[in-house]
Amino acid sequence: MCARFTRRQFVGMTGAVAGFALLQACAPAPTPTPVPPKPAAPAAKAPAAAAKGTVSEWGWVNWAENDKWKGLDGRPPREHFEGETGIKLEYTNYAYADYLAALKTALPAGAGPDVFEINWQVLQPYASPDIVLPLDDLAKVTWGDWKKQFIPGLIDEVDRLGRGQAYFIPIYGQLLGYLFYSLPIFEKNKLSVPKTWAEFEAVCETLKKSGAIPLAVGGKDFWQQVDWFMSLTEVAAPGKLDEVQRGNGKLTDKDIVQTMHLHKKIYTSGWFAEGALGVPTAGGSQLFHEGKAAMMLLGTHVISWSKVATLKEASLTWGTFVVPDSKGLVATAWAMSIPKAAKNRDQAWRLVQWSSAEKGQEIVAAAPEPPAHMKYKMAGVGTVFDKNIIEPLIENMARGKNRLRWMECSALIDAVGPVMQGVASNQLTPEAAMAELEKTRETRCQK
Amino acid sequence: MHHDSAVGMRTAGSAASVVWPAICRFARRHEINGNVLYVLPALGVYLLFVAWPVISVVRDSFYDWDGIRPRRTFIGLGNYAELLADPIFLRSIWNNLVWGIASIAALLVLGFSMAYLLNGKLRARDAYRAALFLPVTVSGVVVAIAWGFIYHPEIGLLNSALRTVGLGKLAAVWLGDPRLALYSAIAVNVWHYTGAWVVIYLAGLQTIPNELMEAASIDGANAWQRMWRIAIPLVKPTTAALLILGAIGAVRTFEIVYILTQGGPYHASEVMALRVYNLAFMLHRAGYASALSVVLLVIAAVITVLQLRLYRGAHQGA
Repeated sequence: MCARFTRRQFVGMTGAVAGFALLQACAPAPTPTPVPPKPAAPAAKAPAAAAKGTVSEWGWVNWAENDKWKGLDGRPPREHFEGETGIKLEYTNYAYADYLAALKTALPAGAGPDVFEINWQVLQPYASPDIVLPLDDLAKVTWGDWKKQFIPGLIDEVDRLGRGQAYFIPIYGQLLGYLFYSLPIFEKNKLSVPKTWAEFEAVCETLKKSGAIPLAVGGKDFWQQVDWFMSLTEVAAPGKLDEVQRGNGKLTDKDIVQTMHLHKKIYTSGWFAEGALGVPTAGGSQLFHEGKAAMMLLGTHVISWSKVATLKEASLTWGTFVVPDSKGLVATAWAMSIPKAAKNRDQAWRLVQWSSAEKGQEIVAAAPEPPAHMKYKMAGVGTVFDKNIIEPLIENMARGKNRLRWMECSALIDAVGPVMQGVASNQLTPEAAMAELEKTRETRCQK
Repeated sequence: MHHDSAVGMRTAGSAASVVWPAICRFARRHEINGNVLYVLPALGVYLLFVAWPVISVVRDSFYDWDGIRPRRTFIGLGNYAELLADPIFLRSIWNNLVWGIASIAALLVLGFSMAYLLNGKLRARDAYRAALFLPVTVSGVVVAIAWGFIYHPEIGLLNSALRTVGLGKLAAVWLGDPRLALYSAIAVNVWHYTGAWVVIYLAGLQTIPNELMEAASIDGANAWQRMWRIAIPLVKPTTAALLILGAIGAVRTFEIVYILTQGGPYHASEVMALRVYNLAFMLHRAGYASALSVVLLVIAAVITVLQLRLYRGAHQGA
């Protein structure tokens, strides 16, 4: 052996190894034959007989520790859960955007937690036996006719996405399509709550002339655009979005294209704050909180983000109404699923069960959030806010008047934000915007 | 089964008895010594964490895959064909190009001129240097969030300041106007990195012997001439290195745009890395995003090769 190892040899050796790796990587990826899902492993058990052990959970709401969830008695959900079940909860909290990336890399690789959290915007691609355990049989064994015990609008989501199976269990819901308005600004301009879209436009015009900003929005954040889109489709073509998703019609049909014309009108009429497209949600709602903007569309998010003290204070100056000519939109704010690769399935189901139908729901109600299980009621804050805002929202949610007004396909949801911006900034015509959405629907949502 | 495994072991054993002596003969013939073993751990890490992911991305680029479900469909060059006809992809390349040219030009001018000033005799010079370098120490995410508030059209510091000093006509919708959004983000990038370029240029300027400048002064060269005729040519290797760093940084640009505009309004400020992210993690098009990543990789490689040649040229010239 000699002391020389030439560059050429090194390159050759590296090339050989890389070539081998290339051959391995370029081998056709296995396409697994779909296997009928096994009956979910854990058998339903009474809480007292629940398995001990450990369960891991991933999410973004910090179910384990966040102060928001300590409203019941000052203790975090983790302590309640561990105390009642004897199961150790290992919770990993992510920022929402990071969370989606983490899920998307872990779950297809068969890694990840025993339970993961999910919301309506991203449910659809995970609602598959390739990824998560089917839960319907287990839920029936545990709760009997379980679907009747949950809010109908949320069960509609379970049914629609699962196509007869349940791949997630809702924990709490949210209502979209609600406008909050400033009582002082409305009083100053002698305005009453608009009942129709025409009245709404008249109110916006009056406010604009008075020097107030009619509507606050964080147009940079796509989810704000999505909420507006779904509300406006209900104004322009009631029920049409649902019909299109069922295969009846297209997003390029004349009536639903009117959605984008309404959206364009809001921007070009100057009813949104100047430069709203470049402002995040916090920057938009700040205008409302500072008394510069008269209305904002945030639905129950506002309740979710606020502490009870804030809500008490807000009740003196805020009112709320559904986007006129719309019905509001109920959707799953937070659900739980069990990955197919979960290692501790008994404990995972126990956690889902506890969160969706037992003490977890009491904690949700006290937060205050709208519990998914109808046995539990969202706590009020003890002011007129309850009567004016919380009660109508919950009533609307429980009645299910606003069923299936949301978009079920995640790719479509994610395509809406940019095209709404395109229309608002005159880069796209309303027709071109809806054509782009229809193309996304046809190519990405119908597989 | 037992019989099969015994046969398998014998086959493996006889294969090893052939292969290993062959490796040994190869090593003796080519005079390879044991030192090569020292390279293997690094090579292993490289293959595992760099080569393997790259190869996987190349493989995924030939599939239609949502990135979540295990099923994927082989479509050959379908994703690449789609790329060529995708106006949003072409726009993201253009945005990257604008980003690179504008950022590098601004950073070169600002970085060199400030470094030149700070290299001279100046009161509180260290304080200026520290102040200039401070933004570099802050994370890009924090910088972008802070500038998001500064750019707020109604209550942001920038428009408020312009209105206060009587320049209200210049107040603009910095991030919400598709004509301005990209340039507003570039300005933040320049603000963030100027300090780093100043420090690197300072290091380059300090290698120039004082005697050269003094001799030029005695010969009658004024400050302007000394900068153009002496300083700039002598820091050419530094400039070449910064060009490479700047170009690679431009190709990789992500967090400032993501936080300030999310690529909007309607892709007006979307750069390639952000497009890859949006496709892979938002629009569930992992296969298509992989094809775009491959193109991004090729562009980065071409730029690097070209600039390395430039760098060698600058070194030889210097």
